[in-house]
Amino acid sequence: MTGLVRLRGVSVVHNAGTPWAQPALSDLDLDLPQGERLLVVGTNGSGKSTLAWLLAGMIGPTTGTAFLGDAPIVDARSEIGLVVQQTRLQLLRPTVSEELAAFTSDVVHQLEALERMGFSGADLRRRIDDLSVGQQRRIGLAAQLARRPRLLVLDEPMAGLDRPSRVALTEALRDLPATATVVVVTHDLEDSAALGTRVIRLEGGHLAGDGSPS
Amino acid sequence: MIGTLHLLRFVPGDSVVHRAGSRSKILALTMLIFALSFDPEWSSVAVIWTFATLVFVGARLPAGALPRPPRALRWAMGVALVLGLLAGGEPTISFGGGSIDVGGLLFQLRFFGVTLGLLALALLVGWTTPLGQLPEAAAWMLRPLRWLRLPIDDVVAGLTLAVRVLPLMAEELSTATALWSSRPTKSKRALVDVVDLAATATTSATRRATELGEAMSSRGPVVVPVRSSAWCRSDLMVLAVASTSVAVIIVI
Repeated sequence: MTGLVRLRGVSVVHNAGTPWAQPALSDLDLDLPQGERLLVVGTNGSGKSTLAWLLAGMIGPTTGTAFLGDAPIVDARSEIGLVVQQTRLQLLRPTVSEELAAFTSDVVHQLEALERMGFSGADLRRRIDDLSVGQQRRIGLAAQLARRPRLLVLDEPMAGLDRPSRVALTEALRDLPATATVVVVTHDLEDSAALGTRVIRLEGGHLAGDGSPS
Repeated sequence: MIGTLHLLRFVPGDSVVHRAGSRSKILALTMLIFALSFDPEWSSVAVIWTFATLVFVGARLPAGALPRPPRALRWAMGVALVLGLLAGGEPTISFGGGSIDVGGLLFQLRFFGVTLGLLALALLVGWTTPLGQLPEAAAWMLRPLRWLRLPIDDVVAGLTLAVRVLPLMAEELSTATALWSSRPTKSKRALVDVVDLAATATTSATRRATELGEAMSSRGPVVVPVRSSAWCRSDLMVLAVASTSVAVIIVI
């Protein structure tokens, strides 16, 4: 496995330079090889979601460096897929087919991603607002997969889902190609343990543990 | 964009402005808004900005609290100024061998002075007043309308809802905008994307409002208590400066 993500001395302060400045991550070092399945766990306010947004290139480090391959992560956003907890916010098009088309014009890639998430070609015509929260999340994931990202980041993918939706999503994620590099941010290790080969624990923005899910 | 304005975010402090109650600040704000709306001339704009500067300094607010306008807004303002210049109109400025009509440009600048001045006043109230005190001040301000048998409690409940929802909406809109900016195929369909983004923000706002509305309905009628404590020295100072500003606007 070759190194894909490299974080060195990364600190993130939200609203830096304002009276509302809030440290979220502190002096974090992290290496993520190609094909690794990383679980990020921690309590509320531990910096999990900030790490997800950082790894997705949506925010840059306040100090330190963050690289995807040879490029700073913020310059490599097009190579990273992010699915957030409020998935509806990222499904901007009215139908499934239009949403997938926003990420790739290749119909074969669209159908592959859709089937990988447990849907069929008939679902392309469905309206986003007619889908359940769990289905919306899987469509959000399918859209990100359709763009063939080098890194896939999922922020609390199981949050707000009922048991059948969790099982469906877990199966879909376990069926991802072995070469896919995936980061799953979760506060519930029990539900997501099967998704990862490595787990890190954050506490107050610091790395507090690094090991295997078992 | 809303997120970068830091609307309704309190900056802790121990200044005269912070110690003043929410009702005096809302009353001062209302007086100034009325005065500026009825007489939006350059002199009024100057008075409002002087007042806002005095309050900012008096509240010992850090410069970091000042909003940094997003690039899109700066571009829009620049385009508006160019259009204002193209509109022409009196007065005419002569230079060298030519002349230029700057009436439209001055009108546009005054418009910005008024709207940004009102925004600055609202931001100052938000920075110096805990969020939870604003509905209480609104209930006090609207109390005379009870004599007309108007449903003031419902209005204040709606205001409470709006005040609580606004930061959540701002956060969700910022999230949606950030996610939109990371989508690969957006440049060719910029207008469609803006419409989609607006629709998503509306859906999100409606959902938030529905959730909070249902929560408030399940709790029963919301009656915000009206504070009856005496006016303190800080209240009187804020009102005195605001009244003086209004008087200057009227006299000038």
